[in-house]
Amino acid sequence: MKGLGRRDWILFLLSESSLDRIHLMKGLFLVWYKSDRLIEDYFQFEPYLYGPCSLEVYASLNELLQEGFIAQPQHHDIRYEAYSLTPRGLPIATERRKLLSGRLSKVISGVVSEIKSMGFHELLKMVYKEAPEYAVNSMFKNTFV
Amino acid sequence: MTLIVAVPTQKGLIMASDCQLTLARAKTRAKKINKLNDRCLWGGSGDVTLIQMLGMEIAKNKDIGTDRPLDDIRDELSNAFLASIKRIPPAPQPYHADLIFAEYSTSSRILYMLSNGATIMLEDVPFAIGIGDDFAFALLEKYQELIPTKIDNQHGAVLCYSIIAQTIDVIAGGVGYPIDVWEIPKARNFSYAELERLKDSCDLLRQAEIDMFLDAATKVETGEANDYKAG
Repeated sequence: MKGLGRRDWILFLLSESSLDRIHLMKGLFLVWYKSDRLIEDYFQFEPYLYGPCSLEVYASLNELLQEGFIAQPQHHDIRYEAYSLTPRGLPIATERRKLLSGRLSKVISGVVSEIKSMGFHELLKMVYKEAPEYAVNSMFKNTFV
Repeated sequence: MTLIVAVPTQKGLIMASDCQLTLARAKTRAKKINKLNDRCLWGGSGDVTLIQMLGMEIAKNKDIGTDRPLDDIRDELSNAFLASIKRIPPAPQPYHADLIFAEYSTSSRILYMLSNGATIMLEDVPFAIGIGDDFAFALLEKYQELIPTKIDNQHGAVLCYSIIAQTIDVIAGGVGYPIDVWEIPKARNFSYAELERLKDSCDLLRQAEIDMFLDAATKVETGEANDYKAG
């Protein structure tokens, strides 16, 4: 998709639903994986200790937070707190999404709709089943696969 | 106060610390792990003045910071520490600091230094200093058989991060977020993204433990756990 950057994909997923960081990471991976891994200038995933992971996602999330396009409410237990689009980020996501093909837009909607209500256990199990080659280094592969 | 944990791994060593700096009644943040050379890291728990003074002594004595094994510089480090104590004006309470120097070359070695400059050398074992160190040792206990031969630096980093996080969450005060992590060889500080990834790994690990416990509890409740048939 010409003209799209990595950060756009985070906005696209969050325009479907608020997601915590683990769901967002796995969602971004699934979008790429289900798109025949052909998206240009996308996050680079590696098989890490909790399955597919891209360090670039953390940096991009931090940038988007700093620039006010997304927000993460402060909570005493921040680990489960979801990221969501801010009033500043929403129109950007809508506008940028027009650059997406209909097929990719459907993949994003399908992935987010499938994972947003899953618990961590169910989510990891699904991802490991979908992409076992990215579960090879996982600490949880014997538990969740 | 401070908590520093060092865990030897197959081909390296991980050192992690909390980053809360307590000054009188105020809290601020500080990095507490320092690079001595490419194969050695060090950090201290206790009086910040004393630890910083030691940093200055080490910087002044260029010979200590060169790529020499801890065995060779053990006495020089002790002397530098004792010189640091002498440089500080006397206080009503004696100054106190515990120090840890950790290196990896062909194996991991940890030099533990007490407030009087006395040192103890440890090989291929995990170690912790500072507030909550007894709690950290208790958490490390179940991993003793894995250290160092069965874990790599990635697993060691998750373990160190997890121990510091659990200690911060449990003990009443003196240690706080964020958590800093370093690795040897090449004495490298983890990046922001790597630290966030460690945080996610630890959160998932914690959640997996809860899930497994709940799963086991459910099996007991439904009688599944007692379905053994002798014949």
